[in-house]
Amino acid sequence: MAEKSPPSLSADEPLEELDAQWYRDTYPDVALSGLSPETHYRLFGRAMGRPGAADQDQRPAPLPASAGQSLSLRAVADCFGQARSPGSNRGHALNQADSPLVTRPDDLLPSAQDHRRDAADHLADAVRLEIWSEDGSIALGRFESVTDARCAAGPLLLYARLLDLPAGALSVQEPDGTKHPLSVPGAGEALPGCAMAGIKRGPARLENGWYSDETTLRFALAGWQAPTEDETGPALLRFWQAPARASANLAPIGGFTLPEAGPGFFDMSLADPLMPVLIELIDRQGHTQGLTLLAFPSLLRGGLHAAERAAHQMGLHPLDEIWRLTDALLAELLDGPHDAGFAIGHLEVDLRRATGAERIFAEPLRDWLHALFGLAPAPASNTPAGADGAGQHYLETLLGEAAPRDAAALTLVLPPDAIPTLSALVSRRLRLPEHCKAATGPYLVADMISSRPLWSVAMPVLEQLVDNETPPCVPILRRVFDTPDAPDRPTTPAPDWLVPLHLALLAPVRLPSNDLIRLAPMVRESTPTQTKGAPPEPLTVVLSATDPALCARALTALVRQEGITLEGVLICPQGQLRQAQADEIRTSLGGIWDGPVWMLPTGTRQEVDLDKVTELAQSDMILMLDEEVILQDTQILKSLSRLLQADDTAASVGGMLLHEGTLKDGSTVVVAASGGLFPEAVSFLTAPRLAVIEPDITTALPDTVYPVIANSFALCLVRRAALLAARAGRPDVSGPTDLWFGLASHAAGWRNLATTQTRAGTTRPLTRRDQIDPFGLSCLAPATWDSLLSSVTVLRELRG
Amino acid sequence: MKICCLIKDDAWRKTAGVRIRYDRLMPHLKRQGHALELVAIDAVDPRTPPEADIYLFSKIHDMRSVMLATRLHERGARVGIDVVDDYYSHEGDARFTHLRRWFAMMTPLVDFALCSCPNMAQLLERLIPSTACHILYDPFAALDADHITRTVAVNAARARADKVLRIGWFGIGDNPHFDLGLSDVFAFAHGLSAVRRLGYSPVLEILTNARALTTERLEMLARLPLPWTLEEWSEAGEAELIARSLVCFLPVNAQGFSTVKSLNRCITALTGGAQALSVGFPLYEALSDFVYRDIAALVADLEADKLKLRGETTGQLVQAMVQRGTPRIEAGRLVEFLAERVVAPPAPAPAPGTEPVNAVIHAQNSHSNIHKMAQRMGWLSVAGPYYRKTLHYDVWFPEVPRPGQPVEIRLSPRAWALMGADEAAHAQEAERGANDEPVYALRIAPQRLTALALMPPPPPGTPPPLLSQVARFAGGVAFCHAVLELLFEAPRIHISELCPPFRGPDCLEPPNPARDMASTEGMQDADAARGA
Repeated sequence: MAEKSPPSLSADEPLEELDAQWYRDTYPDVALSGLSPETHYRLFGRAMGRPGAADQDQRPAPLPASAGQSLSLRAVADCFGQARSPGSNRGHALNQADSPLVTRPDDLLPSAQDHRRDAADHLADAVRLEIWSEDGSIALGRFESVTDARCAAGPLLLYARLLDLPAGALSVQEPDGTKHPLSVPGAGEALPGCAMAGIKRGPARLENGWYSDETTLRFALAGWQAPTEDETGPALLRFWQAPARASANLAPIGGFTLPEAGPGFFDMSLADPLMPVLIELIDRQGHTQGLTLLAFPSLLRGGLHAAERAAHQMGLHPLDEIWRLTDALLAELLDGPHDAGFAIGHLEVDLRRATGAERIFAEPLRDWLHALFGLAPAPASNTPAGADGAGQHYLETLLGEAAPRDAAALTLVLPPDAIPTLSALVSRRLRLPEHCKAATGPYLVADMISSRPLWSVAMPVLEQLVDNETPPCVPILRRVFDTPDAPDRPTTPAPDWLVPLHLALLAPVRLPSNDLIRLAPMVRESTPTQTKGAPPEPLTVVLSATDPALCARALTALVRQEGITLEGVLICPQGQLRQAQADEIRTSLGGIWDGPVWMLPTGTRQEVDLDKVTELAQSDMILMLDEEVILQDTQILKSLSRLLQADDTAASVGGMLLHEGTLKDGSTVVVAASGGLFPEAVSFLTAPRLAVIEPDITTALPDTVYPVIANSFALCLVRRAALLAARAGRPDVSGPTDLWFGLASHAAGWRNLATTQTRAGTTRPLTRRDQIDPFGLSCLAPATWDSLLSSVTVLRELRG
Repeated sequence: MKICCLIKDDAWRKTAGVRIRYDRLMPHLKRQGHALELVAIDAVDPRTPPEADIYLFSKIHDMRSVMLATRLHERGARVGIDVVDDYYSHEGDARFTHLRRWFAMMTPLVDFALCSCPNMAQLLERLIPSTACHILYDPFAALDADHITRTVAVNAARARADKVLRIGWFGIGDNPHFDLGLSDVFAFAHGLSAVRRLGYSPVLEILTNARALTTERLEMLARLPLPWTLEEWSEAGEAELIARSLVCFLPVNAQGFSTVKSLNRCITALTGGAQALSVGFPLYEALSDFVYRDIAALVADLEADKLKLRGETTGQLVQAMVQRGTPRIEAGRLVEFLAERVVAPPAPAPAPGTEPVNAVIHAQNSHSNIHKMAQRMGWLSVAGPYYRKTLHYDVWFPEVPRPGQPVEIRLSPRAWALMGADEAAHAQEAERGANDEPVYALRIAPQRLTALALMPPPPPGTPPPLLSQVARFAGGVAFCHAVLELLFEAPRIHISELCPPFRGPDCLEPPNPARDMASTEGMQDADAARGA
């Protein structure tokens, strides 16, 4: 086959349709490429559909500067770099002489139809890849030979598998019309890598990429470093994307010539913020060197799944991590266990707190879920009808009815501010433990606006949560059918959870620190009454005491609590409490409550004497309370008691403690003081060591129930039976009693729950405990760590 | 008919709500022989007989409106509330405890409610089923068919010529409690950039209040998928923005607060000559002939010169406005509705001499105008045990009462005169107060206030305010309640609390048979009105 020679690089003879100065001024990447305007236009510009002169320019003209010129807010907006006049990102608005930033010079997105027209002119004489669909064919690339085209087609084949394009949709076409069909690799066949070597290294290496706004990708390139005269060297990157509803209709969304010297920054306006992007690398002769599939652009910084990339990040180079993670996801998605379908077959959204402004309701996300995974979010089956009137009805209609159920598939139930992670969507191995019908699972937390990664929350299986009447704020995995004979997907042997396989990405609304809802997310409405048929729960209180007034305050709030009956109060003097003060405490409490008050001997002991507690307290539930805790709501203990009773394996239940601070301007801020004790690190550096922390869990665990290593004894309900069981094996060591109890009760087969749904205040100065490791091997055997860590919530703060 | 619309204060006259909802109606009511007068509530003397036929309370969420409505109701005046926003149905939301409480106190006293859209009417039907409700659509400022025709034609021609789609967004960008405004722009703007695929460059011009420009919202704007500009809102600026925009973007989220908003923004955009593009909750469905739900459809119509709002369709717009928002028609309908309220039999006033002692407890957050109104009403103004303002209350506690300690009380001569004879005999004149009036002192033994869990005063310097205030609120109110019941015979006690989340079981209104009876009769009246 005789192929037409590409235009010569040195062919700089004048072109009639080209205004070289205008072309160079209008498209900043021309100057950075080191090519003459004539060569650039001949090789790339014309093929990209760029006009050669102003009179051919069909693009919108800039608006007259009538709006936004005399604004007091203009300066603010300018600081954020966005208050630009329409059309100002054409040409050199952001391309100052001393700036390496080159924006994409044209905001318009050509359609597949536009591209067909252009390609008919420019690719008719070339070997090319063709993608066939009902709307016709799309030509992609200019190759020197059929072999070159076949070699480069790997990422396009991946694309075809990913989007489930029909068999025979891809072929290599010669100029004479000869077609060479490309076969898409089937299940079990080796998959090509998503990124070609030329993009990973060399002059065309993409150093970084991120979303500069919701639909604009900004890429950083190192540049050629050492200028070369190699005519086959890379010269241009061109980007292709298709709409989610017509995934075969790939169209070029833009491109830029590689900078001769770096760094260079280029913006690419996406036609869709989530759909896969094909990147074509073109050499200085105008030939396609290869393709790269950016299968999940949302993994890039600023993208919806950026937190997922951060959670999985192992290396330092951001794009290398993207290629690695993409290959791993594609391998599971396209080439997972051959006998298994996707683990998640249904998506549901809990609409009870939904506003419709959450990401999951946005059309691009729903279209993408459908195009790549065949999933359509439906209203959660447990959403009560009409809870929020017309709004909820609208959202139910928007999502539509659930698709017919696949009995073997699992349902992922999402809080409204969550989206499913890619890891969960592609998984073919995820499954519930045998005995579970539904359970909570691990998830990620990101910033609602910027998608900045915040937390990785490894939430272990909690069945009880699912049946709790309070709306769950964490993802839940549910079997579609509860019948015992519902088939399970056959799976290869795997742990119950593929850790860290996050189920969802939450983006909770950021609450200002002075927002009252931090203090009391929910309040009851009507006059509370004792639950009919449920007698008040008897309770013994262990009150840590130093100050008579504080003790009186605490007991005053205690006697107002509903749903409980005080059986006795055990005063634990703390620090150097004098006998006179102890007597004063006893007297002041006598004026508030006439039940039994026991006083432990005063002394220097800082910790609660659990031996004495179990001896004196005969009620099933014991409340550990610090005198500085303010029970501002009269149903706090009732809520905690209900949680403790709902889970007979729970040794304790702790509420969230909030510290109130005052800023210099007198305003009040409320911050989390304690929400339970979490594992922080394990180390064998000098000796086995398990460090425990008390982090700010406001964002990571919004409004939910979760298992912890231990609850702070400042506020928690303890089951007496667990106390007795734990006490039996207590070694003679000193250290925080609450942490010891948590570890010992876990060793005895119990677990400790904490909740951010029930909140109380504390007036103690804000000092969260950090890196506690008080017990060593005498209390904690490394052999038990695996069991401990897999049964408590593990938090990891994300960066990047 | 004389309609007195009561507002918070004179500054309230300048708000957009008053401008849109009442000012535009006034001339049309006048032409029809009626009068609508805006009056600051503190300018009303509750001791004088009612002068207006109808009293309409507008956004006065404090005890003053409850007190005045009580008095007007007793004197046979017709009383209503204008429910513009929904702060009352979010059961369990700690931020609105005081507003739900206000609503619960106020609604039994009113003969009718006004609202601005059918969705709100449905909500009120659920919240106060026995109260007659009328939808008073926000009237438009002007509907000039020629202006609309010209504006649409110019903007459409310009967009077709320069291929720039000018999109306007105007309004309050924030709300202290709900994510809306600029948050909705951010959440729903993804569809706007789709016009780039259709050959147009979009640009969004934003006109909003400066308060809304927090770091978070500016970050949202920075991530918008299209170019945008920002200006501070002004009435004139809004009109100019609409006039130069081909389309106004009106995203609406589906939370309860947003789904019951008025149609005002859409009507303003349309009557200003801009197309309306509303995404999200279909709040403007009633105007669906003129509202785009998809920007691609708008572009298609633009290219075909068949925009929904254009010269040929202005007649249909006028017709649509007949149903909702034409000031003359809205005025007529309002008068018709209110006339029915006027002829309905008034609730029976209490028999002379049987009026009980009314007392308002200033709990944690109240203000002096409530105190003044209470005293003008002849009610007792009572400072709760933790209320530390220094006004001339009728009952107050010179020291924060301590658990188990005798309670010291101070009383004004008026309070002293209303006390039962036995208790009054124990009160001693202790000092001279305002206007050289005697101040009576009374000490109550703690045993007489059984089982009251009163929070002790905080140690000096601690604790910080909010937590402890919330914690002691219920106890303080219950304590005060008990003291008043000890001093006065079957007093009617009302709680003045302006802030959330101060609520507890002990601060609920005690059962009030008289009010309940009135409420029942009101229900019957409303049923009769509906039947009519």
